[in-house]
Parts: sequence; C-alpha cells; structure tokens
Amino acid sequence: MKIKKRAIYTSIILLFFFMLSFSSNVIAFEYQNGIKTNDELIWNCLLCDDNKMDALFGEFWNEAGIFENLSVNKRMKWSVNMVEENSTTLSALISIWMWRFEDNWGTPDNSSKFSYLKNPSLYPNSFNFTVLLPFIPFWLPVPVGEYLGEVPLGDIYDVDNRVLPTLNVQIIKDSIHPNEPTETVYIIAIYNSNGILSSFKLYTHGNIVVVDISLESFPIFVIPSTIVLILTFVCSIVLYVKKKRIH
Amino acid sequence: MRLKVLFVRAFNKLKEFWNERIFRYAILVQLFYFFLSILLFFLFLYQKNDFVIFYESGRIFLTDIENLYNQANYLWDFRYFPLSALFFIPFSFLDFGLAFILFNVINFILNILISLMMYKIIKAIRGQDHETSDKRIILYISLYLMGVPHILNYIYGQINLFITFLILASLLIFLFYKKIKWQLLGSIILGISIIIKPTSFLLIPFLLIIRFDMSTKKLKIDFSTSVLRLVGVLIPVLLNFALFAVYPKLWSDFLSTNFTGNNPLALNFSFSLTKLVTNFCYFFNIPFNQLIVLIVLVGLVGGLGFLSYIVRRRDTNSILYGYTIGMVIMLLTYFDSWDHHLLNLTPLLIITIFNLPRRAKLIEYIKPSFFFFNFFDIIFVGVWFLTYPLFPYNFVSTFFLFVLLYSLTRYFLVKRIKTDEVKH
Repeated sequence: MKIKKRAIYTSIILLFFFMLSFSSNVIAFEYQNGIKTNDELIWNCLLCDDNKMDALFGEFWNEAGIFENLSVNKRMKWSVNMVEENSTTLSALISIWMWRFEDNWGTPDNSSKFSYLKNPSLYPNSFNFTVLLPFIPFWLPVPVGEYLGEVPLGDIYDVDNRVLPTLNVQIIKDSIHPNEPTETVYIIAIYNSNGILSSFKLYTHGNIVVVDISLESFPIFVIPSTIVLILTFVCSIVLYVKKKRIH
Repeated sequence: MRLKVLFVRAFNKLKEFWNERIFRYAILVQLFYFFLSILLFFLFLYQKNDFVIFYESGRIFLTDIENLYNQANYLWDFRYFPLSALFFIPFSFLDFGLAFILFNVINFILNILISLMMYKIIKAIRGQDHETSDKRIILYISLYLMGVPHILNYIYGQINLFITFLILASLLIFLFYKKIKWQLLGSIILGISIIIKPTSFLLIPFLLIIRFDMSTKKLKIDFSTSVLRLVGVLIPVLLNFALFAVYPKLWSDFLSTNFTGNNPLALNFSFSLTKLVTNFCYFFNIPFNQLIVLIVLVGLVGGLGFLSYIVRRRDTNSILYGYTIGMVIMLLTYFDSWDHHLLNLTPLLIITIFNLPRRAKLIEYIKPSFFFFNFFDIIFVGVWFLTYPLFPYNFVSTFFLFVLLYSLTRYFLVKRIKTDEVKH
C-alpha cells in the first residue's frame, strides 16, 4: 500500500516538473495560406446606405479600391489563380470581378497579388492594412486570430479572437482628412477558419449599420445543424410535456 | 489552535467522502481537468486565456495604475473593478507559466473547500424527509466536481471558483449566525466577491430582509439588519471609488470600458437573454444600445424575481433562494454568460435541491436544469459554432435559466409546495 502511495506521489511530482518544462518551450505558430488555387469566393452586399456613405466619406468613396461600385445587392467575386509560399512571405494571385448585379461574371476586372509576411511581428509599428476603405483585408493567413494578434497594428484596430477571429476598427471623425469621416465610424470584420472575410459591418454611433457585406456561401454543415438543433429542441419540449400529461 | 481543529475536521470529512467510490472518481475527473488545462495551456493557449489579463492587471496595478484600463496593455478588455487587480499581484511576481499552474492549484483547492461548505450547509438545512445518510449529498458534491464547466474554468484560468467560494461563505454565515457582527461579515464577504468579479452583483437586493405578508397585507422590514447588510456589501465595492477619487482617469476609463465606450459587439455564444437580443439586433442590422437593452431586461427579469421574493409565502432559509434567483437573474441579464459562469450557480442549485422536500414537484424543474448546466451546456457552445452564420443564438441554456426562474418564483408564490405522492 505504501509503495502504491509513493508511486502516486512520485508520478504527480514528475508530471508537475514535466509541465514546468513546457513553460520555456511554447510552440510558435507556423502561419499558412487558408485559401487554395481555384477557390472561388463571392461576397454579397446586404446593405449599403449610399447617402450615408456619401455624407461620411464624400461622394467619391466608391470610385476606387475594393469598394469600387459598391451598392446594395451587388456581388463581388474572387478567383484564386495561384498561392505561393516562401521562407518570408505568403501570397496569392487573385482575379477580381468587382461589385455587380449580373450573375454572368464574364472576364475579371483586374488581377491582384496580395502578400503577407510569414512573421507578422516584422510589420512596422502602428501598421495599417490600408489607408483606404474598407481598412481591413478580405483574406488573411491562418490561424487568423493569432496572426492578427502578432501584427503590431495601429490604434484604430482592436483584435478580438476570443470566440470568432474578429477585427474591430474605429475611425475617428476627421482622422482621414478634415471632414472625412464626418462622424466616427466603426467596423467589425469577422473571418472564417480559412482566413476569408465572412462578415463586414460598417456602422456609426448607436449601432446604425451603413454597410453590411457577407460571404455568400455558408459552410455545408450550417443549415443541417441549425435545422437539427431547432427540431431536437422542439421535439424534446413536446415529448416532455406529453410525458408529464400522461403521468 | 482553532484553525488546526478545523483543518483536522475537514480532513476527516474528506476521508469519509473518499470512502465513496463516486467521490474518488470525481477527484480523478477534477485532476484530469486540471492536467488537461495545464497541457493545453503550454501547448496552445499560452497567450490566449483569461489569466493573461488577470496576470497583467496585477502587474499594471503595481507599476502603472493609471493605465489599468488602457486596453492596449491587454489581450482582451480588462473590465473589472480596479481593486480586483490586487488579488493578482502575488501572481504577477512569478513566471507566467508558473503563476498559471499555481492559480489552477488554488482553483483545485477551492473546489475541495466549496465541496466541504456545500456539505456543511446541506447537512444543516436538509429537508426532513430526505435520506439520513450522507451518500446522496456526496453523490451531488461529486457530480458538481465532475461538472463540465470546470474544464473551461481551468483552461481559461478563470476566477469563478473564488466567487463561488465567497458566495457560499457568506451564505453559510447568514444561515448559521444571526448576530450583528456576523451579518456584517457575511455581507462584506459578498462585497469582496463583487470586487473580484461582479457576477454576484444582483445578489445584493436579496440581502434585504423585507417581506410583504399576503395574509395580513403588511410589509415587514428588518430595517437595521437590512441596512447593516447593505453597508457591509457596499464597503468593499465603495473602496474602489476611493481609488477612483485618487486617480480620476481610472474612473473615466472604467466607465468607457464598461458602459459608454464602443466595445466590440460582435457575435458570441453567451446564453444571456441580453446577448440573444443584441445578437438578434446585430444579425438583422437593427440599431441598438446595449446598455439600454441591459437596463430594460434587468428591470423586467430582475423586477419579476425581486417582487416575487418580497411577496414570498415562506421565510425559512429565504437567503438561499434569494441568492439562487439573484444568480439566475444575473446569468439571464448580464452581457456575457458563459459556460464557466455556471459554476457560480450549480452549488446553489444542489443546496436548493436538498432544502426542498424530497418529492417536491419543483425539484422536477431544478434537477434537469442542474444536470443540463453541469453536463450538457458545453455541447451547445459547440453547436453554436456550427450554426452561427445562420442562427447565432445559444438559446437552450437561456431556456433552462427561465425554467429555474419559473420554479423559484413558484416557490415564492405558491401557498403549498406540491409533492409527488405517487412516488412515495
């Protein structure tokens, strides 16, 4: 019995030291491309208050950059032509069909190469993803939360990777130019596990949403999971009530 | 000397518990949670857990107190009262990894102490028709120790067990000691728990000894004891305001972080009613003010709970039911009610189950809720991740909180507690 007890105590102490040894040996993340060649990504603009955007950013806000021609119910498509990875960077060559109503995409409007440093801490201090709207990237290396957490982002950004990888942006009134924006605006950008922007909301004080963009397709499990959840809950309640009535 | 006697008695009691197989399993499960959390911490979550924030807050409190609410210093927002950082100062002197292990060792010890306190309270207030042997009490204590919310509590390095310990300590004092000095001490202990984390904030109204007697239509208030309890609970909380007076920046930063600022409002799996409403508004682009949502729901849910408490038909051990409904209201109305916060509620539910008559119909509501919170709630956190792009509502736990709210208000309001005669 004594031997057994001694063995238990020894095991616990050994385990304790084993864990302590980890403390100076934390595993670093190896960031990767979450997107693959031939991936097609389509975003849908669910809401866009053009007048409010004009008032906030001036009438030319949708004449350049990724928000070019943006308006409600328009869609934008990205097709990934090539992903590359070397010792320092992760990059992707992407064909872009800018915001449009038609389902027939035709030829892409432009091609762009996006690159990220593999070591996010090498970005300069107070780094901004862009000085133009929408101030956030549409894709990032994965794991997104950890990557964003390591980039020394400027004051306008706040990373919240506690539940969903989320990038919060606060653009203070007059911070871009005098009268741009005309009031403080906020952005919440949520990314999926592949590093792709799944939801973008630009809003003003009081949570008044001005622009709402979301990735068009859900992961395949979302709809069946939701149906099963609701059906199971309703059936459980009905069965419970029936059982109670019988008794 | 007295402490030594207490320690020997506690140790002997634990030895008695140890004779029950279920308790041995429970301790093994606890140890598994403990070691799992340490392993996950060092392998994956070294910089991604709540303890990082507590650890930093202790360091900043000592070195740069005016920047205690400067969120640039933290991974996630530090929102608690400034004095809460005092508790973490000793840890901030240690290496971070070692501090995390020590913190979780304390969490483990707290769980043992919580178990002993639950036992002590249950033995004193157990309904007369319950079994006389301790086996069922040990069974429920073991179920508590096996509870799945402990996993996230250990993994995040959370402080819920400190809160539970202090809530039970104050409950124990209120139930066992009636003298004025003890009333003051019990409420001060509750006040300290609010400093550490304001989860027990909505327990304050239930400290009032107030009752509207329905039969005589008279309002009875034990004014002096109620005031004493309020003073006791507010002393620790108000000490924070002394700090705010010395450092005005702390006050403005505290307000901004908690109420007036624009904290991230993005979706999460909180099961509070407030979060379900704000998630709905967020999802459908409905403008909202989260503070107004909070105030309205506290008014409605809290008002209902407090009103039924005042007009209660029975007075014995009312503080226990007050604490339980106060915690239910808090979990229903605070912004973020997560799986590990349930550790503040489940011990109260266990004590309630033993205080009610053995065959009381109300137990049929409380027991399923306890089992759901203790073992199944976490499943729906996982399900939320599967459904959130279409349906971002972790509503099943909210449902069970409403079941508890219903059963407790029924307990307060019905003339006679129904029992299940068939089962006798």
